[in-house]
Amino acid sequence: MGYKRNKLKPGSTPEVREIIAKPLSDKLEQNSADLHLLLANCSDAVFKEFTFGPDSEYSGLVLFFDGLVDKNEIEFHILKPLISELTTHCAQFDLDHQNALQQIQHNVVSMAEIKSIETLEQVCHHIASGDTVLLIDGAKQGLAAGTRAWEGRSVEKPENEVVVRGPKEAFTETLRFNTALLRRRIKSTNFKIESMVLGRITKTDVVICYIDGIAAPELVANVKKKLVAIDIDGVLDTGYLEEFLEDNHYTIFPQVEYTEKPDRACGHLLEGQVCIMADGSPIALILPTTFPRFWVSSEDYYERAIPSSLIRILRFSSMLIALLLPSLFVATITYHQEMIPPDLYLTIAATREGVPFPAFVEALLLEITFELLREAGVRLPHAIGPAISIVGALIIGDAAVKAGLVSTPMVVVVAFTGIASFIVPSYNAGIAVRIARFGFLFAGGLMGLFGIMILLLLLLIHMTSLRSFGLPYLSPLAPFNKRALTDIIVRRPWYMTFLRPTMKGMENEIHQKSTDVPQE
Amino acid sequence: MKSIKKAPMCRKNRWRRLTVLALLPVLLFNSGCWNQVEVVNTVEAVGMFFDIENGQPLLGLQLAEPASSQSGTQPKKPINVYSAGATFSEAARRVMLDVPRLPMWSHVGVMLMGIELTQTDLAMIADFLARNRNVRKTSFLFVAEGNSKDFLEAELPIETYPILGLRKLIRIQEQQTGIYKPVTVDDFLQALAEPGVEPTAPQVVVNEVDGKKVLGLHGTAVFRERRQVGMLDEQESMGFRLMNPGMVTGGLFTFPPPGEEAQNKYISIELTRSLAKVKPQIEGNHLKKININIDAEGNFYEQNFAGNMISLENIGKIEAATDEEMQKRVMAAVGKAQSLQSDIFGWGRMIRQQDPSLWANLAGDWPLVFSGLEVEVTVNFAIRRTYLLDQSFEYLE
Repeated sequence: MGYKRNKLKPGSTPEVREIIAKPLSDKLEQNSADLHLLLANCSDAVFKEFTFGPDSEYSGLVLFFDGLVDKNEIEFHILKPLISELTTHCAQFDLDHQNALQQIQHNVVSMAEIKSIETLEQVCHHIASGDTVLLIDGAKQGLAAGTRAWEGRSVEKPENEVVVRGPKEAFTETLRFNTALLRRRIKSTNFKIESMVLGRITKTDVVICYIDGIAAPELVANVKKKLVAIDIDGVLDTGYLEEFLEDNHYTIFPQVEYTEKPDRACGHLLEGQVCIMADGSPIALILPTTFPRFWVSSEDYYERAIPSSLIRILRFSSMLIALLLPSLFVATITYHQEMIPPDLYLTIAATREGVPFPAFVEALLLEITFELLREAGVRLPHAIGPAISIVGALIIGDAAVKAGLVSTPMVVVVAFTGIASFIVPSYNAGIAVRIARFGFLFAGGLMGLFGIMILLLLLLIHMTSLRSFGLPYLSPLAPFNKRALTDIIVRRPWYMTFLRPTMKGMENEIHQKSTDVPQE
Repeated sequence: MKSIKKAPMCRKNRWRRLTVLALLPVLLFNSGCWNQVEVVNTVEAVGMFFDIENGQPLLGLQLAEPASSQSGTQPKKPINVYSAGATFSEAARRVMLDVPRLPMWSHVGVMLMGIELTQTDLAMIADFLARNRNVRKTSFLFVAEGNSKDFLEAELPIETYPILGLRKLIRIQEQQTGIYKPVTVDDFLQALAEPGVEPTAPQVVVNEVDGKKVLGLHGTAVFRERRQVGMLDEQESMGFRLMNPGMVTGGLFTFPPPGEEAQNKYISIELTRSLAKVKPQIEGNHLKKININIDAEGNFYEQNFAGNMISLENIGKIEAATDEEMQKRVMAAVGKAQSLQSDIFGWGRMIRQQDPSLWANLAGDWPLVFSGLEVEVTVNFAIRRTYLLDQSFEYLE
């Protein structure tokens, strides 16, 4: 592996580690004391001690974190049945000290999600996850009831992957909402959501979603293996996991796709890919992925095939423009003037008259300015955002040209490149293109078209050597696969799509039965 | 122990390999930026004039005025530079003694050859045109009859750079009038180099219009043995163009209507396409004659007199008259070329391709053989359309 395993022990005192490893004692006082020690200085931990049963012969303890639970549920489904109903209708329950806990679990507490737990560590994990733990004196186990209810963002419109046509729900920070969004779309029992806990301190819930029977079992096993091997103190976003999951670290190209749209995630699941989500992150990772997927938008599949195919071609070309246009322009006007038609050359020469910088420096300055403006625009609060674009447009578009610092064709080229780069639907692939653009600018400025060609070849060699979970990064272009190609440059209409795209380790190839073709 | 011993070796090797890998891309820069030219250090050359003055090559150069973006609305003026040298290459380099910027030779779209040069020897210019990588082989070539200074200073209506304007002029007149055939440097050099065909080039002259010098086209220069020997006039140029290998499109023929000898009565026929098939008729080891078969079609464009020309019986007559008119022009071109003993049509080349042994016999005195050749021209013209009217106006008399 490319990183060094952190050999350090978890950062807690030996005393705490000793306590947390203990099983629950049958003495409530002992448990209570241990938990008070573990949860010392945790002001949001609530300990509610009470007695119940005939003659108040049982004592119990309800434990939860304030803010993570629905207190109504605790009052009406745990405390009220125990304290008032059990006491008044004692005879019906026939409570005895041996099986008190089991009887409470099955007959008294009226909650759907309840299970028994045995160690202090489990107690801590459950209350931290928003469950409520009930301990009673004399029982070696406790009960954990699902009372999770915290203030979270509700399901809203996606902010970054905006579509005109198609579902407009986005993932939120709450994992359960997110899995529910997926489950609502795929109502099959084959849709599996496997859960694991990652993060030594944060104990973040991470789920691996896939469709059993479509996703290749080796792929799922491989993903699980890689995830289990992760030993990190915190997972605050799925982005933490992406770097552990990618095969090649020294590259500008993303090897994992991400989305904030459940419909897009489902589309990928149906193609046999695996989706990884983490609690606290509104972004789902999708893998394996290939480079051609990055100029595909989920809307392509919702709009009709012909328009979306044309738009896809437009997007692909704009990706090339975003990558190559400034370097081609600089290379042409500094090395290959004979390639420019005479009239165009006259126009360009007229605008460059009096510009003090070489074309390469000018392009570099403008590109850097553009990147600065774009980055400033992303980070600025919404209220100031538009201001920066006005300032940017004024400074670059007008003042710099009027002052004779830059030439107008260069501004046009850089602006056009900027617009083209916004068309790339995936933000992370867009970043890769932006970085590569500077490389091409240097190659074009130093060696002309010759240099651009060399860099393009090097880039292609690099890209063909990349793998995303064993899937060649440029597939289905290289290695060539005709069947999968019909969903890369164009989008094949749904009624013609009988088979799933290959190369993703398909278990189940059939998208639809062939009898569904519309007849004239 | 073993692994510990090996480790530093490996590392050393790895570093060495990495160093080599890192240095490899540096090799790419070896080619350097040797041909890097900033736009501000260049000036666009729009036209060149090759001439001979006092027996020495003289190069006239028309440059485009570089204007800053601020004064983009002011009319620009061409800048003319002259320089002399022992060869045209030297003359071209000696331009740098007067001009502080590198002219973009590759943008020269029009090249003029002074009549002084064309009547002396084309070898003086051929090597320069063919060898120099900065000479764009698709530039149009003209013969200029007169003083180089007159040509570079003459005007062409509308155009900022008159010499460059000739490029548009020759192209558009070909489509519209069908008189002169544009000749590129490449065409010219090929015809010059190949046995059995002689080069031609349209001629430019300077006319006086309202006291101003204005460029104009005048005839097609005809060459023989590296020298200009004469020219074709408009009618002959039209006929010459009709015998162009491959399809000819565009052109207008105006001639008296069939059966009418009256003055000032004309019809205009627009040529849409015409294809000439030229075939030398070889019998045994003897070249008998040249058969020229032209298939053409076009549209009835105008009549400038009263009466209905377009009728079923008239159409056949008009077609026959057009056949005759086209034949007349072709024969005029052939006659002129034969009188100048210059095979501008490339018939010698055709014979060489068809019957190399016959050509071996004829090649020695081909100009003489050519001038005495029997030529038969058949034209088959068809009217396709009559545009917006299917009948002409009927006037009350």
